Amino acid sequence: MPNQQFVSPTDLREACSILCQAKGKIAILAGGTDLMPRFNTRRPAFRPDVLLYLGGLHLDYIRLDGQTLVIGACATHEDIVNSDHVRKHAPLLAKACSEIGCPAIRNAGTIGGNVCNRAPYADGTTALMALDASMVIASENGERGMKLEDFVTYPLSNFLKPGEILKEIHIPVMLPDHKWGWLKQGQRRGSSISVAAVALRMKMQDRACSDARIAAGAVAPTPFVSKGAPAILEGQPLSESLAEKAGAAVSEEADPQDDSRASAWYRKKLVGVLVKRTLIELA
Amino acid sequence: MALLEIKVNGTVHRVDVGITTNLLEVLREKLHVMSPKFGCESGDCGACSVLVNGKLRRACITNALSIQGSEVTTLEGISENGDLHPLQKQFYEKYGFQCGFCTPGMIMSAKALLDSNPNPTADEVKVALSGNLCRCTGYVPIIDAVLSAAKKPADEKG
Repeated sequence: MPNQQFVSPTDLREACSILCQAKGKIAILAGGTDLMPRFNTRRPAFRPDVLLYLGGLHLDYIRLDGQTLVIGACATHEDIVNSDHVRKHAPLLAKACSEIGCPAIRNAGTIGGNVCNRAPYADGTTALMALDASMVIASENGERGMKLEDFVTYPLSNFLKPGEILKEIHIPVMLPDHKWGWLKQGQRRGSSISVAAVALRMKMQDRACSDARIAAGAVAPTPFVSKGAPAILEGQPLSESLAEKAGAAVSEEADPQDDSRASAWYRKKLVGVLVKRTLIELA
Repeated sequence: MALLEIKVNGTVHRVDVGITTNLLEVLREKLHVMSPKFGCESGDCGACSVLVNGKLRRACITNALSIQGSEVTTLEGISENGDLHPLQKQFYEKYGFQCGFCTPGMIMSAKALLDSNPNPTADEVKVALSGNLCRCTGYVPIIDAVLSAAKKPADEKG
């Protein structure tokens, strides 16, 4: 294949124009933890003509900008876990990223890849949804913003358009009265992909719940934010029976599939239990 | 094809690689560095673990051109003057392997841990090795070996 090209631009605008102008099949490479296995199989899923590598763009920053935590799309899970800013202002994300894969995977995999690959079991994405994160998407013509929830959830029309690259993720910092929880169930504790995962952020005053955001992963085609559970929790004192009702609401909204890791039936039951446990741990 | 320049265990190499070629193919098939193993080729088993600029990576899912100019350390690069590294010595002393296929990856994961945390707890060792599969030993002697190596300073022989 004589015309295959590996390009590693150092400027984001330039990267976007390469995306627009490339002839043939183009693939975007960051950490490679999702993309490279697809090239390694005996019969590769596809062979790109151009591989656009984002590692030269220096999008691996993590900084605090007023009340917003800004994370570059190429920050690795390990960067996030080790960041004092994230641990202080979005501990839920640090916890979720600390349970992705194993050390070697966390050193390579990026938060932008976690979002853009739109895997149903993307733990980083599930946590970001509960944190009401938004995204900055770059193109040749400038930048646009979008709620991560709208980006990740179907329909596909909200997704990246040709020539667009995810630049950074914005997370509103957690407020002093915010509580958070993260529970992931895999097939084993270390180095496993979620069978179901739950991320939660809400306020609690005198045991009364408010402003709850509950995201669930691995139990629908993409991670999703529960619509029903926050309404059940709003203004109510947290109790075991209330937690169970909220769990049932998320379970009802889940739309899981059977796969090699678990059956749809099991995932639907499990996600309700995880929501209930996460809430009870906050009480 | 494109030209890749990397330093492997202290020696600079220049090789032509394809745009989707992974680091493990470069190490084994072009440079004949044989300690990292082809296992799952999907990043799950840990048999190809190496250090890239001091950080633990899976060679099999590391795009070779993405680490242009980097420094790679494999098992071959951790012993000095023909003496076994304390980790190698303790894997030997504690029977930390049977068939040996997973051992280079285990030792590189353990080295990454000890480089940043010289006195880990057993739980920290388990987390550090959570991405390395062994089908023979049952892990207990491996964890013993890492904990014993942690207790020994690098210059101690014995």
